[in-house]
Amino acid sequence: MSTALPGGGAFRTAAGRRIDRDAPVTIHLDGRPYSGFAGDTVAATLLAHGRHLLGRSFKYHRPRGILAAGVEEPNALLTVGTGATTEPNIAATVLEAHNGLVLRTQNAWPSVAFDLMSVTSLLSPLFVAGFYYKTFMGPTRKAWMFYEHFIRKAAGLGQATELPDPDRYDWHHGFPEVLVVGSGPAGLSAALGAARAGADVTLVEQDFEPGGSLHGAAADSAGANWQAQLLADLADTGRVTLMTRATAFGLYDGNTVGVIERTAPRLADAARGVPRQRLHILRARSIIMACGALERPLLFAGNDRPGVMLSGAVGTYVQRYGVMPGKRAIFNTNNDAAYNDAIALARAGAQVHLADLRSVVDPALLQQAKQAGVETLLATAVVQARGAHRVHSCGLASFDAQSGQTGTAVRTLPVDLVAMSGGWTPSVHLSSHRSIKPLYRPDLCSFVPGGFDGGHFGAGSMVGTQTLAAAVQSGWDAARQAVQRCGRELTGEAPAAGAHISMAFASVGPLRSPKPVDKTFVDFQNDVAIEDIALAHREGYQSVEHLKRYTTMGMGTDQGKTSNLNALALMAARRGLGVAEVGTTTFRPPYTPATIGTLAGRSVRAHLAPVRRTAMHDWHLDNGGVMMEAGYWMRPLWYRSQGATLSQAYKAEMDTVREGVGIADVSTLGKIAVHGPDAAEFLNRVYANGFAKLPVGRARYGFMLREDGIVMDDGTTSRLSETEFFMTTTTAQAARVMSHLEFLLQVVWTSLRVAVASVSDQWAAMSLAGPRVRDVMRAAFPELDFSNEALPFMGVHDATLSGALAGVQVRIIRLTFSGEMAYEVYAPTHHGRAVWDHLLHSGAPAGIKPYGLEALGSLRIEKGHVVGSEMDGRTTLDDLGAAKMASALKPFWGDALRRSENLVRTDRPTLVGLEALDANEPPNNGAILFFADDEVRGHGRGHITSTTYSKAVGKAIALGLLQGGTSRVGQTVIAASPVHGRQYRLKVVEPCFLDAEGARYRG
Amino acid sequence: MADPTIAQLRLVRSPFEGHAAGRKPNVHGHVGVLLGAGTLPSVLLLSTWVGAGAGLEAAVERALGIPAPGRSGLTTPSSAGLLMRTGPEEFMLIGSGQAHALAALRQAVGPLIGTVIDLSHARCRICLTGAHGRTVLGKLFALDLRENSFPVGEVRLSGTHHVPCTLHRRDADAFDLYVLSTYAWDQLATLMDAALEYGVALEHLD
Repeated sequence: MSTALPGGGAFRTAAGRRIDRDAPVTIHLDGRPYSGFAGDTVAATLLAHGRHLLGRSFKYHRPRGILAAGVEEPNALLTVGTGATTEPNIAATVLEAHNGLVLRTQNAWPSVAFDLMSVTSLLSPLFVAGFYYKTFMGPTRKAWMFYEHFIRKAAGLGQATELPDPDRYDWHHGFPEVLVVGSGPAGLSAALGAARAGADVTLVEQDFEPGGSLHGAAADSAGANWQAQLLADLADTGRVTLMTRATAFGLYDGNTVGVIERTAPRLADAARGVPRQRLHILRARSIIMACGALERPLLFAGNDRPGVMLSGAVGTYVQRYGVMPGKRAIFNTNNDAAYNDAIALARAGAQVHLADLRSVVDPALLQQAKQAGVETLLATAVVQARGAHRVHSCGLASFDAQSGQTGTAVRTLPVDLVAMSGGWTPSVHLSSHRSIKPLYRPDLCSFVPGGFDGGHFGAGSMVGTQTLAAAVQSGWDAARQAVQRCGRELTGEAPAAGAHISMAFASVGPLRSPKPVDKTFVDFQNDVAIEDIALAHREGYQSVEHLKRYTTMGMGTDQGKTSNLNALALMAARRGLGVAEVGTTTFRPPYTPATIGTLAGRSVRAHLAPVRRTAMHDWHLDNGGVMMEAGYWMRPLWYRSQGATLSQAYKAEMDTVREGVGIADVSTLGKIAVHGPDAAEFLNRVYANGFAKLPVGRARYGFMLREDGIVMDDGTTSRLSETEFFMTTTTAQAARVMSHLEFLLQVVWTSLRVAVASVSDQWAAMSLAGPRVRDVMRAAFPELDFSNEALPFMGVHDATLSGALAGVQVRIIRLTFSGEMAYEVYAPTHHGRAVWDHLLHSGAPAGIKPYGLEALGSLRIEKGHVVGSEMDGRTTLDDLGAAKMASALKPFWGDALRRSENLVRTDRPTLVGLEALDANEPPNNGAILFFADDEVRGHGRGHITSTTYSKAVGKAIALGLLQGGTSRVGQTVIAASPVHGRQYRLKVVEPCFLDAEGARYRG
Repeated sequence: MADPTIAQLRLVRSPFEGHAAGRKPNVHGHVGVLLGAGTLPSVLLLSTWVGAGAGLEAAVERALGIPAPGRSGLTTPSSAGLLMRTGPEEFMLIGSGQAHALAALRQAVGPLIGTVIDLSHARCRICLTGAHGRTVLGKLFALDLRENSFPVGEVRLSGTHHVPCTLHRRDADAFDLYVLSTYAWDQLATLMDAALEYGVALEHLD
């Protein structure tokens, strides 16, 4: 009999082969220190100090302790960290103990030991499943929203922080040849087989150490030695990447598995780039799932009390961590495997009884137990666990395996630990993510994977093996199939595995006490008892999907890992069906809770989205440019040098353009090179208006439509030679137009000899506009002729500069967006800033100033030029008043369907201008338009698309889409913005407020 | 009279300006990733229309005097620069700036054969080497970087965050990334951030 070692808790033993006794650690729970060792989990450290009570249950606030030793833990959920690093609902059974770890218990006030909310337990007869739907329903329909506030305060588990997460997360894309999920015996065997066949293998294990079920093996046992040998063999192959602390949380299309890898404790360092967690997206040729099986609880009164644990967990705490979860234990089991756990605990020094539900057991096993000091009781069941904050005794009764009935006589046994084993439930989650329903095997009393997609294979207890040798062989067999898919061959035999205890069992139902005085829980985390399942059945919620949602069974953070099978069996019994007929609910990722931050990865804060900068970006920042995001682009919205506020600045910038000369960065425009002998014909088909006869050296404004007749984009295309064109698009539609052109050439008009290429990055672009623009252009480029004859409106000129910009190629197009005399100057990107600086310098005598996007947008409203607000994916050429641009002489893309019935209706809203009649405040964009005698309600007659204040007009103006369009010029309309609670009176005018004849920019 | 302001005009500005050159070791004091960033002397896109790939290929071979890469992903060095096959009917030449070679190419690829488009300012290059270079690339690109999938000398068209990037593998742990100029500053920032945990050093190549 061993004795506890000093340090690390009074319940430490000499066993514990995976802890490092030379590396002590201290954790803090609710401010109290607990000492442990490196290699402990938090649960192990706490159990070593006799601490079982760790929380209060979700609904009834019943005391709860540690049930398991892994991810299936439903009770021992703690809040980790403080402040911004607070993380609630973390299972103590998976948390690695380390120095500096700060923990809090949850869902109890003022403490788990004395929780005022435990009064709800007294009201448990009222708070049965579905009680929400029967109470809190009145006296009014809105009453629930009142009650919900208080219910949320009372219920729930941990509480998350609202502070920004300071940690870093990252992604990684991996392409293993063979991916093995799970490093238990089957997974280790599979990984070794695949590696020996020459495959690149990635082996993922959710625990911080590989081994799986072998963690319950004693030191120097055959199982432990086998595990060590396999790991050494894997390392020797040089072909295996072992990832621990890595959970395969989901299986997706294309043989893709999502894995979340947690960095070892205290290594994460956001400032130095070390992430706390990493999402691996693994695309494998073959995937072997060796996900193991989870132990199933037994159903008896008080089975949720602290001190009631799964048998395998007890064995793991003894063997792996050197912890005795109790000193006076009873094991209740329906299978042989629990005997190992009982024997281990007895050898650690505990007084152990074992109540076997079966009446016939292998005599050799009984003999082993006896030799270890375990008192065995056959055909006996634990029918009750008694205690409040800790089990102090249990009730035992006879059990008839044939009938499933317990005897009426109950004797009490003093215990501080009840270990239960109701069999094993294969972890079929991953294989079920591909919508392959699991299959019930009556011989296994379990569901196993219902099949596998191509390239997927299963091994071990996940597919129903029940001995170590069978698991190892199945892993090897899976590896043989997996590597065959990779064009490799596995020869040789599976590594030998010694004799090991069988996991075979026959399932049992509830072990009923003749006079139950406590609840029997099925789902521990969500407080679902067998009475709730009976209630659901009575009330008609009998399908497994209804059962789940009505009772909340399986909906907690543990996703029913220890409860689903028992619940299904209970419902099946009530319905008189087999478990197979009841079926399961749908398995969805993630297998265990996933941090949202990991899924976001590095796409946060400065790296949320790509940033696209023009060549003049730094100039804008240095000169007071207030930048805004336009898609990925950063564009100057306004300049502080022009005004203290946006409202002041954009008006001043408009004045600059209308009265002097302004310069704007328009590099973000899409630019596409369209080359080839058939380029003109191609453009003629793409645009609604004609391009085939566009002369060399001229540009033309055009609209292009979608196939359904809706306007897609507008832009200007210049002809550089007989076979070369330079197209510009709007910023927002650049990529879409490029894709559109490529589609047309590759799929629709494959005989056209045309090649297209994006040159958006090749050219920086700047727009100079205003009455004094020619002065600036002549000063900047004295070698060029800017007379109206040499470069008329819509003329194009390519030139190679001399002087200060010697050798720089520029493209100058005379066109306007603002309505003033204007030129667009294109320069190769790396020269863009030099050309910009040169223009500013040259334009200084003329008072050149920059103008931003706000002013640009307002200037074009004055001219009635449409942008995306008008070309919003719903409007036609007719709607925009551009029907005349559609050629009647040639077919073009979108022409047929633009004539469809719905698109030519006369009541469609069409483009109008609007002037404010009341206050000179621009109406809200998106405001709904109503005729003057309409009731202001409903969808109205149209809406406002663009709005600004116009100094030229002397009032606030807008563009909009209105039923009847310009036939209503002179009429008054109402613009209503319900969101802002405002209404405006506006006068309908033509959609051009300034210089309709174009005298300012022609000549 | 020389105007001092004009004289101070810098004709060429690299999109990478603003990134400080230097070393940022990791927590262990190591530098596992070396980055070099700069503009390119010449980039030409050689392309043609559907079904005319053979004609383009022949013209390129005539002009450069080398066999053209036979399929997408392959490259061939030439006196005019590195020739990449980036599509069935498309090549990209990362030129060494030799004007006569470029002129020969423009002449060989006439308007009835295809088109030659200057992208010299549209692309920049980021050179990546180091023991952890592949790991860093694995963070950003859904690309199989094992040598049997991505051999030395080949190129791959990939992207991160929906931003295109052409990767050329110069050696087992050496890559050239050809990035779009308007995204270049951000792409370098992303690479440097991704490399931070391994230690990173940056050198400007211009």
